[in-house]
Amino acid sequence: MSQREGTILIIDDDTNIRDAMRDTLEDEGYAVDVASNGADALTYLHSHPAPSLIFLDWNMAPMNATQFMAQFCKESAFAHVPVVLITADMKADTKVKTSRYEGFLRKPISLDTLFAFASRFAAPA
Amino acid sequence: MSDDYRDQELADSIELAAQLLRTIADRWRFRARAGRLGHHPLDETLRLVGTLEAAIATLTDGGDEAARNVPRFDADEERFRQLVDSVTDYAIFMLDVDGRVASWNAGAERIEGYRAEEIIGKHFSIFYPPEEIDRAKPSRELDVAAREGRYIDEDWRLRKDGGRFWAHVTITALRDAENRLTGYVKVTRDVTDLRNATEALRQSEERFRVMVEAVRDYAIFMLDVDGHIASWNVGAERLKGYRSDEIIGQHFSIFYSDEDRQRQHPQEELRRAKAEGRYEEEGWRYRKDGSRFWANVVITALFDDEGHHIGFTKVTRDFTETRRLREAQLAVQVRDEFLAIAGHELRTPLTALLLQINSLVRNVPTDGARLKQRLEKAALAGERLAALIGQMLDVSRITAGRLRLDHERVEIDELVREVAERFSELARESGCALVLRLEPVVGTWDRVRVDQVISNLIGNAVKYGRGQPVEVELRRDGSDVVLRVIDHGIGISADDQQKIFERFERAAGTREYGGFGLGLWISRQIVEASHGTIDVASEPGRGATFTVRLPLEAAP
Repeated sequence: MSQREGTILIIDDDTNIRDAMRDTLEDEGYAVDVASNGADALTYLHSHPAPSLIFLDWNMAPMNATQFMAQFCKESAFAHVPVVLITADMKADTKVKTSRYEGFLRKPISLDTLFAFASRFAAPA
Repeated sequence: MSDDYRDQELADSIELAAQLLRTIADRWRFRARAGRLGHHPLDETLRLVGTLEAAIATLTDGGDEAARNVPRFDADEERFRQLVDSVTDYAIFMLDVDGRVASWNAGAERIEGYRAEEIIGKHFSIFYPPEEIDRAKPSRELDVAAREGRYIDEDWRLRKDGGRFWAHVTITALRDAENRLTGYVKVTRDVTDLRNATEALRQSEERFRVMVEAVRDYAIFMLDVDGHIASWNVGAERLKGYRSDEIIGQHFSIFYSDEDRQRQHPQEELRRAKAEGRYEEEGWRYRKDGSRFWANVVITALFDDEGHHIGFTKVTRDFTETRRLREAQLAVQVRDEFLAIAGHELRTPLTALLLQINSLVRNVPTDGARLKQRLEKAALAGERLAALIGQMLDVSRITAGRLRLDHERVEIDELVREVAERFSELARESGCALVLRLEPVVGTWDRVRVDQVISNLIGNAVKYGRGQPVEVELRRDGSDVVLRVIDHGIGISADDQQKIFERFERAAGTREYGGFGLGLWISRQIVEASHGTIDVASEPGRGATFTVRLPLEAAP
């Protein structure tokens, strides 16, 4: 997968994290949209062009990452959209291996890792 | 022989048979009560009782007939004689008026040890121990039997072989129609076993009573059916403060609070104990001096053999300390739960904060060097906070038993190098050169957790290293890997070496050196969960050497 046009979608139920990621990525010149949970994100996805990259928080309510991915993967329109998991779990690699995630961002989030994922999949606007 | 005389003899015989029946019944009841029925005693007893009842029936019939038809009587007498002869469990024999043995049955031979031909004609005092003969007991017994008709006794008697047995003896005087004394019937049973059983029971009851009285840690006492105190042990005196002479006879509600008494709680306890057999509860009880203690109370209803309610036993223990301990454990549990929740809650905004600061650092204009420096310091403070929160979460994970190890293949020398690299800047700042002596070793461990242990040890060495070099050694030793982290800093006293692996312990002062004092405790938990060991050698002022030994392969 290579760099694609389009916005980066951040799905996280914590306002502070969502805003910090958006601010950080926008400063680097990326277009960013946010959703506050899985259900919210699906609504967004059905009414907007496919994003270039999704950062998905693991633990959310009302729809967590696993529930979101179950719906998301059913739709062929999103088959090419890369998803990166955000998690505090030390054992994130095991979670990532069992699903179609491209990788994971461990909390506390390192800027280098965040930018590495962004630049790998998305092009600044 | 006149008919009258025969009638008298018949009456005596019936009396004798009835006596036998009574003694058999006695014996059976005693054995049952002593819980020692011996071998097939019921069968034996029923057989004997049956035989004797039949004999009595025969004799009674014979007696009636004897009044009408004398010739039948000889046959009955002969049958009775045969019956007596055949009885083996009872020595049944006649004495003449002077006490000489006049007849002898099988039981007498079995119990006393003499054959008929060697004993008949001998004086019956031969069966008595010498000291009894000295006291003229045999002749006194005959006197009593002659005067009162019968003499009954239990005492030691001698066998032919000199052995003693505990005898139940009945001597019945025989008189002719003119009421002249004609002799005696003597029935002797060997009741040594019964006596032993009764004695054992008595001793056991005595021992039990002494034991209960001596128990110090439990108040054990009895209540009558209404709840008045009937017995009192040392434990009760010790726990409640009353001596037995001042408490026996009082109602047990004296131990309860006014409120409990008003709501009739003591009576309710007795009611439930009686209805359900047993009642247990915990609650406050009061001592003589008015102080209270948290009591565990068990009340058991007592019933006699016939099922009549005769009272209660009450066992009270002081659970004040147990209760305090339970409350403390609950408090610890609540604290650990709070730490877990607090850790998760604190981490999320901190992550956002660090992200914002680090992002700002990146975007500081080239001329804003001072701003950049200050933002970097803010980020460092945030990272330290993140590390502390991480430790807090580790502790709650470990105490809740949720430390999970995921084993994978690890080149541990490479891992040590990575960790050392991470600390290189800090080491440079504190002037502690990191000296690595690493042998290549590969094994199966949880990479993240082993990283944590190495980081903790190197971090501590740099922190307490006083600017001296820190050496890190890694080598293989058989089926283990051994990691040594050596500093030449402030060192650790012998006392502190015992404590530093405990929670919230640190050798150095809190003000000089920050942190929770959890790092080594967490490291030890990880190492032990990996079936390894961690220890320290140190001299104050001369640095410390921490040694971790881990098996190369995780145990199954």
